[in-house]
Amino acid sequence: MNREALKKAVLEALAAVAPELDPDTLRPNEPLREQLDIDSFDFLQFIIGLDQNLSLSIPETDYGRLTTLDALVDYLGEKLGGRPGGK
Amino acid sequence: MALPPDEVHVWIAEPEQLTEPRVLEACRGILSAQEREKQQRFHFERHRLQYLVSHALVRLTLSRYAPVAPEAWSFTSNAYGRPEVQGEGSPRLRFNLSHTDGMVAVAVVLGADVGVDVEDAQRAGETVMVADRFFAPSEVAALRALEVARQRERFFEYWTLKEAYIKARGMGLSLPLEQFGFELHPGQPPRISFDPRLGDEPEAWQFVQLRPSARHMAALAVRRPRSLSLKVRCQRTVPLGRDEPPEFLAAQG
Repeated sequence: MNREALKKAVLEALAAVAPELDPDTLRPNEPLREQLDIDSFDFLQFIIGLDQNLSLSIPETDYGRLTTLDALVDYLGEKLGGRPGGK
Repeated sequence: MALPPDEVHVWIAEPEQLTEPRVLEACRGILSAQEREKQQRFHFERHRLQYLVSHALVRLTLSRYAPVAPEAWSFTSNAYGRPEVQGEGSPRLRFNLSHTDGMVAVAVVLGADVGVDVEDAQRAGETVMVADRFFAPSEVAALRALEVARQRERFFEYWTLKEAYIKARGMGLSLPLEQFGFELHPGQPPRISFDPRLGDEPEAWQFVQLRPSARHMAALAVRRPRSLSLKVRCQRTVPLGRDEPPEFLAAQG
């Protein structure tokens, strides 16, 4: 899956917790939490959405890496990159 | 204001009560330059208002307990980003902040780990699905045993308690929510149990549930042995405005 497709999957999961967001206004290298006031409850909804959109399971120990849009795309690229037949 | 060692004080404000531009400007005047910068970076106005009121409330609250001006407090963050009072002001004064749509809460205590969580229990989002995936098996079983109409409320009881605990530990969601669980029985304080991997001791903690409005639920976690008394003093306030009379709750250890 290329970066654009991963970004789309992230924004889709994000839209579920921040439906009013215009994704074009998101600053990709700044923490989502600090732009959208994502709290823990939103964050776990977001994780569930990502898991579903991408058929993966993100372990708690990796949550610290999931800060910005760019960091998320990097992380998911690594996570899915090594998977044979990854979408 | 005195803060006895066996008390935790909770100050509650409703951001939407602050409407006068003059008051909002005065609140901004209390924040640090860095806080003002952060406040401006939120996309939505309601988040900017929540941030402003939250951080003004923290500063105004701390200044009730120490001879330090609200704008003079400085903060440091632990490795997981939780802010703490920095410097000489009152090193034993500890606090924790929580906000949700329509409400902000600050808990203060002397020399103990404290966590507070307030939630809008009417917020959108999945609840039982979150529990299935992230909560302790005992909590999931208890939740699923309830009739569907009661599951959402019970979810937020667990959620606020779990959040209060991880915030008191200062480690956020890096503490797996499935490795500790709460037992709730009417008329009794919540009891926590730990998976051995978490290496914590149930007798070291006290938990108190609060119902600050019909729409909001809240919980407090204080690291204080269950054998010792703990009094909770809860008070509503309007930052730079008036205080409501306090209410007292006793946590039965």
